[in-house]
Amino acid sequence: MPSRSLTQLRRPVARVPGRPGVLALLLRRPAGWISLALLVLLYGASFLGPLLDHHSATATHPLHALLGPSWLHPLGTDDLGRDELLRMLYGGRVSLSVGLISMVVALVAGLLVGGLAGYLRGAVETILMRLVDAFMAIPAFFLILAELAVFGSSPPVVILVVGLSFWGQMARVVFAESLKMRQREFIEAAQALGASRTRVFFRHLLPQVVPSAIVLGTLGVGWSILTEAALSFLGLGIQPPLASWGNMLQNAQVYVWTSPWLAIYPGLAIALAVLAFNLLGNALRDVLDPRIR
Amino acid sequence: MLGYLSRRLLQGILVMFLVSAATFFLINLAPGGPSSLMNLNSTAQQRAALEQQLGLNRPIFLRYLNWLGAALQGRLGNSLSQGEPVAPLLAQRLRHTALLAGTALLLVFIFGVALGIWSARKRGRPIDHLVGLVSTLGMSLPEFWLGTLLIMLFSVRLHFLPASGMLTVGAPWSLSDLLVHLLMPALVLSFVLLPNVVRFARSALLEVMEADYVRTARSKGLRERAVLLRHALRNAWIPIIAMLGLILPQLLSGSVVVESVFAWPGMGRLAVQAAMNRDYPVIMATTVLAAAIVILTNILIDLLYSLVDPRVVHA
Repeated sequence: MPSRSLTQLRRPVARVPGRPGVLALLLRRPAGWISLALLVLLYGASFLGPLLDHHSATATHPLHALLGPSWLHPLGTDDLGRDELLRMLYGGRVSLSVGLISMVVALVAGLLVGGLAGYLRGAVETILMRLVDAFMAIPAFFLILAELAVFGSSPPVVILVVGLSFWGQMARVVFAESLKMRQREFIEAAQALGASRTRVFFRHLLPQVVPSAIVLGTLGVGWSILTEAALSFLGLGIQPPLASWGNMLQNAQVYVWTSPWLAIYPGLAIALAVLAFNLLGNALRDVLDPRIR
Repeated sequence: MLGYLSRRLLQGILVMFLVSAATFFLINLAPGGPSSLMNLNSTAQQRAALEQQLGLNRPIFLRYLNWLGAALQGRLGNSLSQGEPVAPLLAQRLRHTALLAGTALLLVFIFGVALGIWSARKRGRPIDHLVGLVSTLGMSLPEFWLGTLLIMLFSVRLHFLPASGMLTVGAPWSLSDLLVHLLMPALVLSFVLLPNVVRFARSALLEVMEADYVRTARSKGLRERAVLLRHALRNAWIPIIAMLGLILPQLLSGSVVVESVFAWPGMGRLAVQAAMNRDYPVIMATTVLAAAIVILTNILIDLLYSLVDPRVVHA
């Protein structure tokens, strides 16, 4: 089919030779390399660190409960005698994964809903975007609480619920971007060459919208790490004995009078992870979308 | 103007309707919904009796219309865990949340706008970067952790401030007692919102400062102070007010967490307890009320625009 080959002729080129890629541009900025280094450190320590230690993060040692920091237990032990550092590394696996996966959920939902509404317009736009309005009218936490009360607090539910509380925001940004893009000549050209609507949407429109969505999504990972932590802190998120930074802090609340160290390190880890994603998001925005400052 | 107002109100009512229907169906259709409240050991008769009593044996659409009809008359059912009517309970909790959130909002506006203006005036200088850096740091701090740290410092170590509650139990009511209890939660809640307000105020002012009329005001020899207060700031208010609508959901979400940390008896804490106990009538009521607050405020803000900025004409 000639039309097909013509639309394929000018595929968007990901990288012009001689022009630095996104990663190289990121590494040139302090915010970029600092955040990436922090993330490598946090993810690396959480996923590889526990492999160096054969101790279990859930086995309890009542005789070693609530010990202060020492050489054997650098961050002390919790009320059940578990090593706090080891639990923080295991908790990091959960908290960092929940943050990342739930943002993928939001990204996919937001790209599809916002993109389709912006590209097709008409009745589709009205229905989808009013739905987004209704969703966005409910303050995120109240909606999440209602959903968790109904579906329980298993990790997949927490991931889904946190991700879906962000999809509205994502959909609005993607919608605004697609509205702009659909007016552009390259979309017209693709349509004039006989490309189907599905093809124009997935091959031409969406790739142009993805950078803005990625910027928002990166900032969103920080937001969802915070949200998961808050939910687990309230006792409605990740449930013990599975460790997450949030439920470790909940546990620590009882002991703030006697063992304050338990309340410090998990919070510090959350703050560092969120800070890293916020910095990375800002740096990515500068690199991918130099128009907005 | 009246036409605009009624159109906005109609839109708001429509969104409210969508929100309440969606929440109702979510709660009632899900596998863990109200029908799962029954004890597994109960007999079929007992279950039928309970379903009869709660009206669970009727079609869901009818039940929703029932709920809607009652809600419009201010009846929101009875709390499953406490047995008392939801509406008066919610009204009381809402007042407490309004006190906490209102105080936080006031603090965040005073400090946020001031810091934003300061940062904009020193654009590109070290102080501007410092404010930006602190904002980014502030956005990354979990509010419940900040709350815990403050409790550790001011309540556990220094015995300055009470760690939780709204009033000292058993003591006679006094304003100073209330304020002492209010201080930490209000500070933490405002801190959550501060970075956004600072950034917004900064960019709003920067945009206005580049306008022609500011240059005119300067060139006719007005002092910088007069330029700022009488010319620039007046126009920067519009986006700052618009921001109020954007941070309100954040404020309400934040109050859920902060109220739980400080055991503040507000709506957010009620929602958390209801979610723990699967107290469906309360969950339904808090969710819809939170949405109603956001929707109504946004309508009010749209109207405020035309008061602040006479150029905005709502046709």
